[in-house]
Amino acid sequence: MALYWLPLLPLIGFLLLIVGGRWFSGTSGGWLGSGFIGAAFVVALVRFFGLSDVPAHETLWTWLPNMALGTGGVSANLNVGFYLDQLSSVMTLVITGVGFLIHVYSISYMREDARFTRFFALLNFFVAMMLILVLADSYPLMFVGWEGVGMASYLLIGFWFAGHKDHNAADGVNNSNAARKAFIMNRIGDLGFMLGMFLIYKVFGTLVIPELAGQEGTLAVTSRPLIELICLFLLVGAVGKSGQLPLTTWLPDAMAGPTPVSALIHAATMVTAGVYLIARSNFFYDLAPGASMWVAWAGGLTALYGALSALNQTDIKKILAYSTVSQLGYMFLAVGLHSYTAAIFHLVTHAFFKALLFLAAGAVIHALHEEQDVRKMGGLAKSMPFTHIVSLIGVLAISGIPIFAGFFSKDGILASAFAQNIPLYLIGLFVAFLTAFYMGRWYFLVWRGEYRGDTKLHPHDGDAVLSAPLGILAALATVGGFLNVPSFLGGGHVLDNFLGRAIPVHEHEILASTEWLATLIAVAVALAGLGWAFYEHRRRALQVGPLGQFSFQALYLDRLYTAVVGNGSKVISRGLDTVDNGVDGAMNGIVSNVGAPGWLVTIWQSGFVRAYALSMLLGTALIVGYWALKAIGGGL
Amino acid sequence: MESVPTSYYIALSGILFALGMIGVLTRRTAIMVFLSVELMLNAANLSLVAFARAWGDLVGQTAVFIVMTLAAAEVAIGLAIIVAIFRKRETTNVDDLASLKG
Repeated sequence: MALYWLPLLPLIGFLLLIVGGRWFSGTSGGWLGSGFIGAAFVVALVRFFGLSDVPAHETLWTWLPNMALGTGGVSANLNVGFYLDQLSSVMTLVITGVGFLIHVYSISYMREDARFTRFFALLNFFVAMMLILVLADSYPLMFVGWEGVGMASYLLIGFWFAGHKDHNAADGVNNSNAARKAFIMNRIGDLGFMLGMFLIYKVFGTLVIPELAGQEGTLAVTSRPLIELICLFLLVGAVGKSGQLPLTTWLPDAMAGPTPVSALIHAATMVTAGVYLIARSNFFYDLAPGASMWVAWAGGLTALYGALSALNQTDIKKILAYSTVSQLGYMFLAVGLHSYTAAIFHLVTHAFFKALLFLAAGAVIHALHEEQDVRKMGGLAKSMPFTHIVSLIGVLAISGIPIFAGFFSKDGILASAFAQNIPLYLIGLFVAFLTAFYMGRWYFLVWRGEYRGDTKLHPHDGDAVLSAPLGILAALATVGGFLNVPSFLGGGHVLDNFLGRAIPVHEHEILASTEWLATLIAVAVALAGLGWAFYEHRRRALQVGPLGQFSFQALYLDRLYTAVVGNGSKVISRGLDTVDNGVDGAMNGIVSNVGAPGWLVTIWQSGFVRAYALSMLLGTALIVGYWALKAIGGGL
Repeated sequence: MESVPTSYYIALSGILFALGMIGVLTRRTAIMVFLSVELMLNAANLSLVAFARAWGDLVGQTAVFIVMTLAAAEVAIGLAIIVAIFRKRETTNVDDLASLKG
């Protein structure tokens, strides 16, 4: 199977569903869309098992003639081509695999929606663009996918632009604004990505990723500040797409979209594109220690920011959203420390357990008829036993409790931080504690204690279509960690070694005993977090002090942006408006002054035919009289 | 035979021309204005013929023939325009036809 089938299948699904939306009645459009993703997953599996040490590079057609430098400086064409190595193969499996499960879940979740088929068209479009992003063999093609997923994200965040269920127009406006916020903040990142591409082309004369990676000689002699600058530009792009500081505020707002969208786009796949971009550009970042430090610190601080903001949220999805911000921070921390494989490992396990948590939250929201406030939940373990169990698995996985997926992947990141950068390690450890606390709080508020909501509701587990993806994701979140068991625990670093055939693995010499200690500390911290959450929950359900308010307002970052950027641009635009009015006034003055002499002429055009005749007569008389007098006077 | 002096013809031509001119300037009906224009045209014809006779030159008379043919064509078109205007505006008063004023 050629590589182009991977993005083509979802794209066919998108075209069918968007053009022929009326042909599909009931849930048939959803099954069709899911089927295309399932087929793409099969293709991804076939290609995964067919991988060798030589990456597959398949060119489709010439895109920009004479755009790239070929061998010996001869100009070559920039082609639309797909590139499959171990890194992109893992990504395609996650995208199509988790994507397929979320598609199936959505068939049940979105069943009541009036625009059911349209929803699946957009989801298919997203998957197609995401596959183009990860399979692209050049930065420009990656950018096509990059923008495509951005557009899909915009359309799906604002999917309920007219409000949801009760068609509350104010809700609709909020949803549309969240979509626009995501789109606009991503534009800032895209500018960085584009500047990075321009600079790469200026320096290396090509934008084809395998060619760039192969230019070790040129890379080695290129001046370091240039490479640092390229890396910083690409970092701006990655920060925008992945919701890292300082461009993070769009991601929590993106929860305005339907829950499957939050799970697929704003947790499992699209927001990890920034991590993928940096891992893909590892040959640059390996040469740019400065820019890499920026990546690591952006990640570390974002992890802290997300965790602090998640502590006191009341919206069941917002807690998970800030948690996603925080976990993405972990991944950035890892790629910044050149532990690309650890980052990709966490990306994969995070896709499992965060998709699981979001979908479980969706099941709760559904069961409680669109209630999202955790203060009105509680005690749901009794009425929704299946969803409770899978949620518990998700919570344990994200908290880093041993044998669950998050334990291994988070431990890998912490170990690499411990070996390279103690301050970042301490931040990571503290974030792990906070993560366990806020996820524990989430768990206890939703599932334990007494039910605090509307007693008229009778919540129950979803149907089979809704539950099956939850079960599969729960299984993956449980065993996903065994993909990459570290050697001190008797594992073989399977994923590290697999990815190591495509991207560099930097070994860090740590004593096994030290590693044991670090792991025990991490587990102790996670248990302490869960324990604190349990204690807090038992003591008082919810309280909001000044610190709580600080956390609830997400450290006032949004307020700060509104005050500085929002009001700043208002001041500027008011100033410009004044200038504009001045220009307008001057123009109007000129116009009226032009009109005045014009009036002198127009009054002769009275429209009275007899007046014209009289003036003709007088004029003729004048001319004839002049010549007559001249003839008589002889030189008058 | 004593012929009529040329100056008489010119004087008559001048009188006819002045009458036509007064008609153009004072009459409000398009038909009357048109009639007056024809009068002025024929005053000019008369002077042309008179000078042609005085000089014994046929060019002036030839010119008058051309003017008469053209005038016939012009009358056809002019009357058609007046009829069209009347149909459209229900009036032939030239003072009302001022829609092109600046």
